[in-house]
Amino acid sequence: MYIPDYYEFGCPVNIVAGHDSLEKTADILAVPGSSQPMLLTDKGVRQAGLADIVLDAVKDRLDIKCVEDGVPPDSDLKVVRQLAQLYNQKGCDSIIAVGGGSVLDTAKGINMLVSEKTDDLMQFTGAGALKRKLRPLIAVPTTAGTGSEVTIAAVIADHEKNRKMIFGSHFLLPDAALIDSRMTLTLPAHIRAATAMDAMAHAVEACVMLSKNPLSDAHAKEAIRRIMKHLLPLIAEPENKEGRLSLALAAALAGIAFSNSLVGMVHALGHSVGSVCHVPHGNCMAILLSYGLEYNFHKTEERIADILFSLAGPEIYAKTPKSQPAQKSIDCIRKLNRDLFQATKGLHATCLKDLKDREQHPMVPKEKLPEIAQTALGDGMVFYNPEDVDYEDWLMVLEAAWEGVPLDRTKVRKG
Amino acid sequence: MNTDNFTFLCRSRSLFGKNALEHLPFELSGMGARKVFVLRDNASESSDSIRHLRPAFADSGMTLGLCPPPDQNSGTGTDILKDCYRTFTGKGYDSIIALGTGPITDLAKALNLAVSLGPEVFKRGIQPQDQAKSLLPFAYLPTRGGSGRESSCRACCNAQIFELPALAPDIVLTDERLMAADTKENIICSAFSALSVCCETFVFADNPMAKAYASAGISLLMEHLFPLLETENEWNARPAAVGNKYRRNLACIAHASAISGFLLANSTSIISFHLGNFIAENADTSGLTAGSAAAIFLPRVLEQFAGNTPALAQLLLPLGGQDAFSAVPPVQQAAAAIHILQNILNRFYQISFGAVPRSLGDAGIDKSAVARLQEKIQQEDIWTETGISGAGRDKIAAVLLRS
Amino acid sequence: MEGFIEIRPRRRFFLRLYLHIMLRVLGRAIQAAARVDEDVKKEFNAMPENYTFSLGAFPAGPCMIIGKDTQGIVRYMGSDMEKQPVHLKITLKSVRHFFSLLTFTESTPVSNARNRMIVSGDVPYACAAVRIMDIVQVYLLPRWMAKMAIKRYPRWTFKRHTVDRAKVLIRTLLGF
Repeated sequence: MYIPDYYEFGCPVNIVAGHDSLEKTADILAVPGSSQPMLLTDKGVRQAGLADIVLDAVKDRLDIKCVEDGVPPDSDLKVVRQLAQLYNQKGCDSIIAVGGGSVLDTAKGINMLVSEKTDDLMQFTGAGALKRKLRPLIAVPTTAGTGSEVTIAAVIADHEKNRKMIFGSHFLLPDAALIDSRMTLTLPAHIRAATAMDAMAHAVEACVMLSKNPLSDAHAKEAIRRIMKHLLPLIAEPENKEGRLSLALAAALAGIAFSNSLVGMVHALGHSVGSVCHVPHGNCMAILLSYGLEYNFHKTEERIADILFSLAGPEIYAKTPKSQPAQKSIDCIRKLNRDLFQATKGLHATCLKDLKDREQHPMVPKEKLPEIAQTALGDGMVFYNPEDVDYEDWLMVLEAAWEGVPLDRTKVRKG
Repeated sequence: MNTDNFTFLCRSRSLFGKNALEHLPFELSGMGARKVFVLRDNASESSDSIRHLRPAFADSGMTLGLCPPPDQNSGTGTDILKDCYRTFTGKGYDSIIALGTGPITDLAKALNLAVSLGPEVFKRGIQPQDQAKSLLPFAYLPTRGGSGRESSCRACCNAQIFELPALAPDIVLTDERLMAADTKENIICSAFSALSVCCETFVFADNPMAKAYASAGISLLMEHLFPLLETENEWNARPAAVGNKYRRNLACIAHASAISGFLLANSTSIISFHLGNFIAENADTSGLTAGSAAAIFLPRVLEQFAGNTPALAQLLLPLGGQDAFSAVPPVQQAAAAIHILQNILNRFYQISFGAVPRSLGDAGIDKSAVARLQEKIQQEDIWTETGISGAGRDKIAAVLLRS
Repeated sequence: MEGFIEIRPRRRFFLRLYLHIMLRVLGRAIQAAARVDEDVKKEFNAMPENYTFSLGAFPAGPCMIIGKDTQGIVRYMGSDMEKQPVHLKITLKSVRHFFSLLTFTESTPVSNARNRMIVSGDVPYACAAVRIMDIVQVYLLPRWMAKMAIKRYPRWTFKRHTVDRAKVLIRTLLGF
């Protein structure tokens, strides 16, 4: 068991899980005396009928003041201000955020403005700017991947000034995260695969990167085990509600793990591929995860070996010679990606060059790789990566991931 | 595994390790604190913890109000609480640190209730509307293992029990420098209490978050309890001195104990823990601590209530590690887990020259006493809060006999 | 209450003195490196005009401010946070943690991994600031010490290790 010299761990979010956890919304909001929430979501979630499931579950006991589905895919400062005004106009007293990372970040932004009675979000940027509890916020994740329901950060873009504002405070955490198996029933197979691989990347990086600790390890390993057990069967049989709930819990567990031990170069690179080429985050994570492990192999072999048990189970772990478990862990992740490729009939890409948009155009042209590498230099997650990464290193990893060939570890410069 | 409907909440943040104390001013100030009221016990005096606390707050711009450790001359618990309340409100403090374990954390929680909800809370009790109220920032800094209750959301004040999610500490900070020398009996009591809570939660909770905490707690104990106590060849040679060399191990046990408190806040039915406390209070033997008794009951409770279930088999993983778990065939894993738990007791019995009991018989509780205790268990209403039914009580009575 | 005492822990003079000296050296070295080293120049060129960043300790501990003036020249701007707006703040959570960082007993990545450091401002520029400080530490420190302070000791040309280092050290000493 690895215990760092110093670590922090915490997740003061009330996790409420089940097949009918949405029905507990009114009880949870009753504790702080709220009964008039704003229901916040995005158009995709609403069209999928998920907002209606929430509304059906709460309508008898709560007076939903407004249902807003205008959250853009990339949370936006202007939208946050508009929605905060609406919250005040309608006399709301809490927020139920139904959706993924963007919806929740927007909800956190609105909550800062309405709780602090201001329209200036700038004063809360950075870490620790908030000093008191905000108004009630309930998160209902719909993707089983991002884990944003348990993370202390919010990223809100100011598109007018072309910058992203990052907020970090424990007061931003939702009061409760409702994990309900109904929320992920209608996910298309390839999105289910990608979001679960996002959670897998959270969990694996939490176990390998610099801030790993015993509590985050315990959460992350349980998440890995659940994803390995349930993901592939669920692609074939999405009606299995136990499997869906377990996968949603895996995402929350991975979210708790990575929000405490943070992630490294896989996420840094994933953010950059996403921002330059507009590739969904989960797809980036699925492809890049094994490369991140290969790049850091010389510094983290023991840690990568340690996750083989959770990835492959006790039998394979016991049969793997002591010199090979780390490589075997990487092979397991690659195999999972290949299996998902088969299970989704080719919609789950295994390398960057295979990523296609709806018109079947390549999403990551090779000539974009230098721009992605340059963008990755500015991603804060690289701080938590065990090995240093410069422009040439990013490019080397990207080229391997683009082709879909294993990284030549002899070319990695070792610090 | 059945994952139907569960809730889990751990309000506290854990800060553990080297130079952890220096994080405290930043953390408290992030919650709006400027003047910190410090309650401490005698153990914190012996570890000279104020000597470390003061420099940790240097340059922070914060003010510390240091209460003397309560002693027998300080009057009753109510007097001390009233005294603290007057000083706290009179001098405008806005946050609390409890430096120590056991009663001092109850005092800190009671003070927090009084200053946050008003002193009338002790007359009217906790009302539904109090559930949503925030209390003042509260940090718990263990100086010993503790019972686990310190980090739970429960406070005991003059035989009154208060339970409120916000009563759990906002921060549980474990810094090796604060660890006080302790008797081996106390260390074992803390460790065994925590082990019972973590193992039972791991086996019985259909809740992956609780299992994750429990798993980490068990691993911490398994790695740090034996190095702490096995190194001394002669059990009685240095009874009260576990020196600086072992502070890291002590801190890990205190950390595991705090984790058990988080789990206690989420579960009411930790049978071996409650049974241990019941026996320690009711048995006619002075040498049996609640922790030791809980550890005696733990394997029997698991056998009686979990049988040969996959959940019990899984317990081998945190107890023995990945290598041991993989080496044992699935059908033997549950038995192997029980064997490890029993073996812990056997080894401590040996290295303590019989001071740590392996069974109730070792602790001087004979069969007639067990029969009396069984009767008491059936009669008394101590299991109401744990939600254990009549059939469950019969099983508990059987556990008692087998222990 | 009998025996109750109220204290306001004092500032730690020697720790703060050491940090002030180190920050002055580091600040002047960054200013020097910005004139000598191509990589450092590139990092600063990517920052906007008048951009400033600081490295300091919570809540009002020793700090240094580095910034570009209107002509785009990089300057060490002392430690007065009220004199100029600071766009990016890198803050250690306590003076003690800052001391560990600047005595190289805890490297930047380790300090960050242990959550001792907080960043307020644009993250890409914070990454650039850390890369700049890494390069400057390689200039200022002997190899064995620099290896403790950064993740990977760089492979530099002989000229960079000798001539450029001499230039940076002289400029740091003379403050230009």
